[in-house]
Formats: sequence, structure tokens, C-alpha cells
Amino acid sequence: MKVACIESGPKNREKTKTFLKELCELAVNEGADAAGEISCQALPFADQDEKPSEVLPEKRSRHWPEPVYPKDDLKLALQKFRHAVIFRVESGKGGGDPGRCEALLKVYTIASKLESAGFYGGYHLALGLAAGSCREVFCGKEEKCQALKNGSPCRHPLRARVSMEACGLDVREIAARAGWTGEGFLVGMVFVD
Amino acid sequence: MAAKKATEKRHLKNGEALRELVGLALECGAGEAQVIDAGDVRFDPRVRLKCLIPPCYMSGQCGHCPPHGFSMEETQKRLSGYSHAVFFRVPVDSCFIASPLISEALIEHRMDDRSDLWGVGLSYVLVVQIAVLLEKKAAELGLRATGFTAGDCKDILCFFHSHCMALISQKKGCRHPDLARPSMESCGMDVFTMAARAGWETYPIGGTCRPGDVPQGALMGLVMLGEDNDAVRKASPTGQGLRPTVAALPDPPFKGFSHKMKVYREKHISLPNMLRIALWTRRRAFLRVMKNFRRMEGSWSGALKQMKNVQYL
Repeated sequence: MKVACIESGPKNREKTKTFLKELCELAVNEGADAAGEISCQALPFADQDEKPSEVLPEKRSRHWPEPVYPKDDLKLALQKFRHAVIFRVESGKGGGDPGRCEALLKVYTIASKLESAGFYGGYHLALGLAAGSCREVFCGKEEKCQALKNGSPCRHPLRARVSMEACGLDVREIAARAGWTGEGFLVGMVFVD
Repeated sequence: MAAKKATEKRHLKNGEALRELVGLALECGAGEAQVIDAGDVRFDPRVRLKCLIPPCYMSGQCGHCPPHGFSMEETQKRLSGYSHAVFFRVPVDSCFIASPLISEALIEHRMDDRSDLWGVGLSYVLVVQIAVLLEKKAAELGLRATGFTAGDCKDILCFFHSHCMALISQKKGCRHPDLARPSMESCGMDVFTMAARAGWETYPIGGTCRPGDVPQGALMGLVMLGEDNDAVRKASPTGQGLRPTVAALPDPPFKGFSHKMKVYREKHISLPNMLRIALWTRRRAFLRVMKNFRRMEGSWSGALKQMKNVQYL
């Protein structure tokens, strides 16, 4: 594996552009139906379809329906990024469909791979966001999210992650930036630079 | 005129003090160390998110790691009166820090059977010791100091405990208030960029990185320094910096070295492997760690007591 040395100054624009293209290719190779690069200027934020207060306590996790990071301003951090890659995966129909779970897992896996490629490629702050609830994908059979208990770790470290909608991002608007409209697909996003 | 002379004298004194602190860092085991301006400490809100998305295996498990610990804003506020910092780097062989056994062992929270984790642990302990010793020396020189280390303190100091005491009992507090310090990254400092700006070759190392992928690994630490004046006192009123302020009740994990060895055996840590690392592969780091404990405690018996209680060693 090629690991890039961290640079001290701002990244070369051409180099970043090429790298974003490589990430899009990687997403498709990993099973995404489509991928595209977008600018992070004026990131659109929106209310979630599912109100956090309406989610039952046993369905909650540290990342869903809203991330439990009391000391960190997620919006402020995400607004620092300038470039990102988004990808889409066709989802199964219906809420409890195993096809949907499989599609969600694919989103988590691709987000992980792209984030990792960004990290080793010289963009050490690269950050991947997935779709849906991590509990649905990884801990569906568990009674509760272990990470919500003080001092206890996540059961799936380095795999579970927060989703775009839980971060408050307007997924439809962001998908539209890549020219994707309509329904029936899940979107993941990896902030690169 | 007199005021100007006093300022010049103070600056000169601080310049000497800073050189002395850099010398001490190198003497205690740092590969490189340099003085930077407090303004060169780079904060980025995205750094703490890297601990949370996806969650690191230690995220939420210790009092200093996100989502707990000091937020970027809290840290910036507390460090507002500091003027300089000593930034240091402890090199670690990539065969240890990028060992394929380490990520597995850390996720499953056990030691690996080749004791590679133990070898890396030595370097983490070294970073903690250097930060603590620099704080101590700075205080002797009349400066205020706040140290930051690398990694999570629970793995370094409380590996065999199931929980961080500071998180589960405010009354009891941290088990190692004398050694535990927040890491630079847990406070939102962009360590990689700071290291690159300092001119140090830095490579990101994660769970899928392998020894041949990077020439060398390194762990970084930082000690913020300021004159003992009103501005610093106001920002950090207790004078404790970012240390855990609650005193720990004695909670020795091991009754003695024989008990420690028994626990190690139960955790499948091979004594011959540990000896191989301590006496051969990492003998310099091991000796340095022992000497640093002696320097901190003032006697070999104190050093042995610390060696007994620190979980990695």
C-alpha cells in the first residue's frame, strides 16, 4: 500500500482534482452504482425526515438519530471541507427489507474504503459519512447500543459511522448537485479536503 | 528604561529556559524537539471527529478521549495565556507501530502473542514521561506548563482495567493523575500538519498499514509554556493545566511483580517475548523509560513502584 507523506502547506489543486477522480473510480470498483465529486461550498443542511424525539430509546445509538457528541460542533467541522466525493447505491424496497440492510452495509463499506484511501493518500482529515442507522446494519440483534453507556466502547469500532442525514445534511439536495434525482437509492459521502 | 531592561532580561531568561527544556526532552528519549510559538499550535474541529467517525476502538472509553475530554474551544481558552511550546517527537520502528498484530489486539482488547503492542507501549509511556518531566522542569524554572501526549491514556496506563475510573466515579477520579494527560489530537490539535510544518517527515499509520508501507512511525507530544502571570492564571485558575484534577484513591492493579506476571500469563503475554523486546529490540527505549521514572520519582524504589503500576510495562 502506498502511504503519502503529510504535506505542510495547502494541497495542490490539480493533485486534489486527480485524487477525487481516483476516489470516484474506487467507489464504483467497490460496488457503488455511481460516484461524483462535489464542492462543499454552502453545504445544505435540513431537518431529518425522522424527528430525533420520535425515535424509541432502544433504537438509538451514539450515531443515530443524531450523533451524541456533546462537545463537538459537527456543522462547523463539516463546513471546513472544500471537496467531497458522493456515491450512490441502489436500495431495496421497504423499511425492513434485507435488501436494504445489504445496501446499507455496502454504503458503510464503500465509505470506509474511500476514507481510508483519503487518509493514506495525504488527506489525513478525510471523513466518511454513511446512510441510515448503524444499529440497523451492525447491531440489529442487540438490545441496546453499547456505546451509549458511559465508558463503554462501540461494538463495531472503525466500521460503524454516522450517516449524512443524522449530521443534518440535506441528502436530496446534495444528490441533486451530482445530478441524481428521484428515489430508490442510498447516498454516502466522503469529505476529502 | 528599567522596564525595558527587565523585559529583555526576562526574555533572555525564558530563551535559556526554553533551550534547557528542549535539551531535557532530547535527554529523556525524544528523537527531535523544538520550541514553537503558541500561535503555531494548529487547531482544527475535524481532528476530534476523526476519533468519533468511525469510532476509534478507544473512543468514549477514557476521560480524555472524545466524546469526553476537553473540546477544541475549551483547550484554546485554557491555553490562551501561553506564549511558547516545546513540541517533541519520539520515533517508533514501523515494525512495531505498523505491526499487523497491533490493530487486532487493540480492537479485541488483548495483548498480541509477539508482544509487539508491549513494544509500542514503551514509546507511548516515553511520550507521557517526557511531557510530565518537562512540566516539572518548567515549574522549577518559574514557568507555567501544560503537557499533551499521544494516544489514549487508558491503554497506556490502565490497559487491564475494564473501565476508566475518571468516567465511572467522579469521587475516585483518575487512577494516574500524576501521569495521565490528554493527547494533542483529543483536544483538536492537528498534529500531522504541525509535525509537517516543523519539518518532520510524517506518515499516517492506521490499522491496515504494514511495516513496509512507511519508513518510520513517530509519536508526538507537546508542552505549552507561559510566564506565570495573570493572563495564564486567569485562563487556567487551578494551575493544573489540563490534568485530571481529582485525586485518585489507591487502586493498585497489581499486588507485586509476581502478580503482574501472573496477569500477563493469563492474558497470553509471553515473558520470553517481553524480555526479547526489553533486552534486545527496544532496549534503549526500555532503559530510557526506567531512567525517566527514576528522574520523576527521585529514587529507584519509586521508579519500581511506577513500573509495577503502569499496565504496559
